This record gives sequence, structure tokens and C-alpha cells, in this order.
Amino acid sequence: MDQIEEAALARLIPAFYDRVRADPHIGPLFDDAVDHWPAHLEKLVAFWSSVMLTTGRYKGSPVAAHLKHKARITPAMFDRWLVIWSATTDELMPPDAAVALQAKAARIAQSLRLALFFRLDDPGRGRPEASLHSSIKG
Amino acid sequence: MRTVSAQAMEIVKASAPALEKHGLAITTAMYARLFENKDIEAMFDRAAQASGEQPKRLAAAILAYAKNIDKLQNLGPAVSRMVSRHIETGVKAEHYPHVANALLPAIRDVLGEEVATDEVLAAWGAAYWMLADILIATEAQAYEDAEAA
Repeated sequence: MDQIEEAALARLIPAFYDRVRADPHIGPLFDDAVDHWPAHLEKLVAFWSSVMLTTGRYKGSPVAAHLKHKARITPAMFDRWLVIWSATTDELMPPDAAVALQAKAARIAQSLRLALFFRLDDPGRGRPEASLHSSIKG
Repeated sequence: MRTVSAQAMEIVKASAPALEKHGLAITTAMYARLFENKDIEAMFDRAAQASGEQPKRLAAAILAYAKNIDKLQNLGPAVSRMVSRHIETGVKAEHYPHVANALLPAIRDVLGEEVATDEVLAAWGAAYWMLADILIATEAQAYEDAEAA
């Protein structure tokens, strides 16, 4: 991970979120969710510093932060986020670093998607409800 | 945010056959360690313990996790069941380290230190905490929603 350093993340993250905010699919969500962008960007640099450099600078729960906005988030928004992330990291980071950042983001997205959407496609919980309804109707 | 590296994911997936064979022995050993703490023991359904249902259920869940650690989207139903059950029984963030501290040594007890090397246990530790982060946050949100309702 020699090619990723704090300074590079401090350049990457603001550039990435400039693009996110300009994006018609996910920009409005982020702009509504974030009150104070300079502080939020600092927090995100700390987050990425923690996950890529294991600095432990970020203390918080990304899952909880996303659950607060669950009603507005769709699975497709994660794909959009990742597309912008890939393009931005490819452009601004050395190739090895970009690959590492993309792989990490994909895994984080998997975790967040599981946390946010596990109820939607759940046959284990859907079935009893369905049978209850049919028995009420019958 | 705790995630699992590609190498650790491979290690966890590679341990699936051993878990298939020894999963029940591992979870039985895990509960023995966990229940050294009587406050924790009191949280569990005694009937499910006595019948062996709980160790079986956990062994199946751990195996499913090992097989799907790189396909988390397949774990939706399993996570849903775990979260519901945890909320019913009042599981909180502070309980998760107890389970980790019982599970990881139990893996070593059963598989032996030549199979369950430090690297293997570290991979399983990372896997455990990745899932725990998801469960802890969703459960905390559910408790908050219940209070607000």
C-alpha cells in the first residue's frame, strides 16, 4: 500500500465528492444528507485513512450512518457510487492504489447493501406473512 | 469499517470443508466457553441448548457464512433471522466480543493449531467483525425505532 498516503486521500476524496454531488442519480441524496461539507470531507478522509492505512483515525459507524437514510437509498445507487469511484481513482491515483481502493470500496458496498436491504429479498420472513394473509382471506 | 481482505476471504472459504465436518463440535465448544459467563448464559434459550438445536443452528450459520463471504447478498435471509432473534433476546453491541472470544479459541480447540493457525484465526476474526458490524448497527437502529414508536 506504498502508493496510498494521507495526502493523496486528502486530494482524492474532495475531488470524488465534487463528482458525486454533480451526479443526477446520487448527488441530491448526498447534498440533502450532509449539512457541512468541509467537516464531512474531513471525516471521509479519516474513514479512508482508517480502512486503507489502518490509522484508526475514523471512529464511527458507516452502517448506522447509512441506515439513517435507508428510505431514500436504492441498491442501484451503490452501483452508481462505485462507477464514479472507479473513474475518479483511475484518474487520480497510481494504478495499484486505484485497484486497492476499488476492491475495498466494493467490499464495503457489499456490507452496506446487506445491512440496508436484507429484508427486501428475504423468503424466510416473507413466507409466513403470505400464508397468514391467505388464511385471513380464506 | 471492518472488511475482510481478499486473502482472508480465501482462507475463510477454504475452511468450509473443515467446518462442514467439525462445525457442531466447534459451536458446542464455543458455547461451553461462552457460558463460563453466567450473565451471558442467562440470555440463551435453555431448551434450544439442551436439545442441541442452538449449536446446530450456529454451525449451519457459520458454514453458510464461510461459503458466502464473497457473496454477501446471499446472506439476506440469514441476517434477517439473526437480527430478529437478537432483538427478541436483547443482544447488544457489548455482547459481541464475548462471542468472538469464545468462538475463535473453540475453532482452535477443535481443529488444532496446525489447521487453525494464527493466520486462519485472524481471517475468521476479521470475518466475524465484518458481520458483527452489520448486525450491531442494524440492531441498534431497530432498538431506536422501537423506542421512538
